Amino acid sequence: MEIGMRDIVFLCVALLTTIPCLIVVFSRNVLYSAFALFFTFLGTSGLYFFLDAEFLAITQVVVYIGGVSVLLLFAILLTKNVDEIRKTNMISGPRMALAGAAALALLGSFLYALKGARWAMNGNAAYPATTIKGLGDLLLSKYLLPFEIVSILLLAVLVGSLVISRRSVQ
Amino acid sequence: MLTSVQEILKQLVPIYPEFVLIAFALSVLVVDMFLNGRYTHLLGWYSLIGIVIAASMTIILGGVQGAFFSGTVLLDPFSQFFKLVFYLACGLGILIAMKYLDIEDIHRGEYYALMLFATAGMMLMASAGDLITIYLGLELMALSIYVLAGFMRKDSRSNEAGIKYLLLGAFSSGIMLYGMSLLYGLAGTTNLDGILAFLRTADLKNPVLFLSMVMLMVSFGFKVAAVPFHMWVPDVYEGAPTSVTAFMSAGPKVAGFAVLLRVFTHTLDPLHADISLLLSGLAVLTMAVGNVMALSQTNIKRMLAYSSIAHAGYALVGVAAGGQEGAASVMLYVLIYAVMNMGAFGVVIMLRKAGMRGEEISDFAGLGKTNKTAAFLMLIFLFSLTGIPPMAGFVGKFYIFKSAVQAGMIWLAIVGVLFSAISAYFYLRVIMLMYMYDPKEEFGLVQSPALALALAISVTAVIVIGVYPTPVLEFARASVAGLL
Repeated sequence: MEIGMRDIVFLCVALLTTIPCLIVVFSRNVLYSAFALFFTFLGTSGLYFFLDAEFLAITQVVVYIGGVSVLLLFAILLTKNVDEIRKTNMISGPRMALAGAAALALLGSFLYALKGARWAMNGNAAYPATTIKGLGDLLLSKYLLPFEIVSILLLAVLVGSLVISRRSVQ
Repeated sequence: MLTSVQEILKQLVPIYPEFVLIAFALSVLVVDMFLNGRYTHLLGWYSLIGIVIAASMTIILGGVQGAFFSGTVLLDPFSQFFKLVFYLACGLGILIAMKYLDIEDIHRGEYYALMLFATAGMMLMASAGDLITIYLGLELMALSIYVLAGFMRKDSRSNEAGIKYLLLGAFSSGIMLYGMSLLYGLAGTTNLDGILAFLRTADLKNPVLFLSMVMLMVSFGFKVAAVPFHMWVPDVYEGAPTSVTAFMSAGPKVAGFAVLLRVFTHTLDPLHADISLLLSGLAVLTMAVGNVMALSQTNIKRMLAYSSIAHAGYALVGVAAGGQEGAASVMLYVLIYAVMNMGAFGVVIMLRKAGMRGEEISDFAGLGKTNKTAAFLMLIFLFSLTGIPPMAGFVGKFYIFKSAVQAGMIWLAIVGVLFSAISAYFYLRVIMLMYMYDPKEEFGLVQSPALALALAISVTAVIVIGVYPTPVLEFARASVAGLL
């Protein structure tokens, strides 16, 4: 098998996605975990580029790196007792072994199932130069209703977060 | 200009009920800003008007059938049946909440808005014709309920309930999306009919197909609280405000069964043999864990939580049996379950007053001597939950087990009956406490017209369906005909 430039770049992006994932899970400092998540998001965005989904990739950068990670860091730093920040996601002992075994078994069954999978291919249809126009058309025609439900969903979330976070009024 | 507006309004007709509920939810939020806090309960009645309007629209739209909005929404008798159950659950949920929210000092307008949002989400789940609509409806429901579960912000148990439900719900959503994406990758479409058409010609031994089916089963199992995806149920049911627990035990669980039936008996029907095997395993586990764990509970909300797990197990028996009879029996069962369970929670709420939680099972001691009506209502609901004729619970279980026998799963029906007998112990223990023991202290039961109305509705439904189930059963059978 010939290894081209594309494969090497893909490998780098894949490692950029997965290695920080391990840091997120295994780091003993929640702040490091949050920073590592930042790189995972970046790697995921790279994977979207490989799938020719530029719009999704850029949205990933804007929303997850620009929004979610920054918010996460703020949330950690604004939490009381920052000195005791050395909280970790790690569990230990028999539970760790059990969880690890379960995760490996799951990984194994995924690899087995996905190895020979045949996916629905859209033929060799010509790629549009940009996907944004097509997405916009779809969202306002075929997927109009789901698109509108999302707006209601976001409103419900907004109301909900206000209920949870606002000071009690008297 | 005017004609285009009319054109748009005409296209919206199939989702008018959802539209009405969301419009009422939004107006609740606006009115709440200007309303004096003493009159917040008026918003409850206002929301009820919205539910009644939406319900009459669903009934009027009964004749309209088909796929709308490019197949993302389906209007069929199946979804209409479930929508009527959701209106009932939401209406009862609001009625039993009004006084309770005052007592807990959390009476705020957003409560009703979130209830309406959650109901709209459930309705979208029931009439979804596309994986995307299923997901969005489910999230609209779930996100509203996460907040409702944590509505008592000063109560650490309620906070814990909200966070626990949110975290585990997010995991289950992730698993569901993974399963959906695999299914989409295979079929090349998210449309449920499209997936069915693909499966009719596809290689069913494909492990990816199996994997995606299992993932969907895990996440729907989480929503209906099937074992082993039930870990959140006792803690969340105990911690959430009791009125929310009542709604949660009826609404989202029934919505979960709506999606479960639609996806597993319609879309993934070619996989019926695998699905039936897995679901009957889940059903046995769920009935076992639910009933056995309920035996040792001392808190009534925890006991009802385990009981609701057990009831999900009975309903899963019907889904595993499959076919027209199986699906119809599940629909009849979830309707009956919703009414009797909300009734039982309604009585639990009566015991809650300032200075006394009224959540321990021992708090019921002597209730039959001091408050005959309340005790008698509780007796009827508990008899119904046990499945003693002539209450509706018996009818529900009867048709579930009958459908299992008809599908050739006699062993499953026998297991179900055995566990049902075990359940008699913990339901009847409450009745014994109420009638055989002397009261520990004076009871001052909470009473309000809304609560009385809710209890009257549920007790009437339990007895009427129990004595004369034919119309409801026929309605369920007719509703399921279009599904298969």
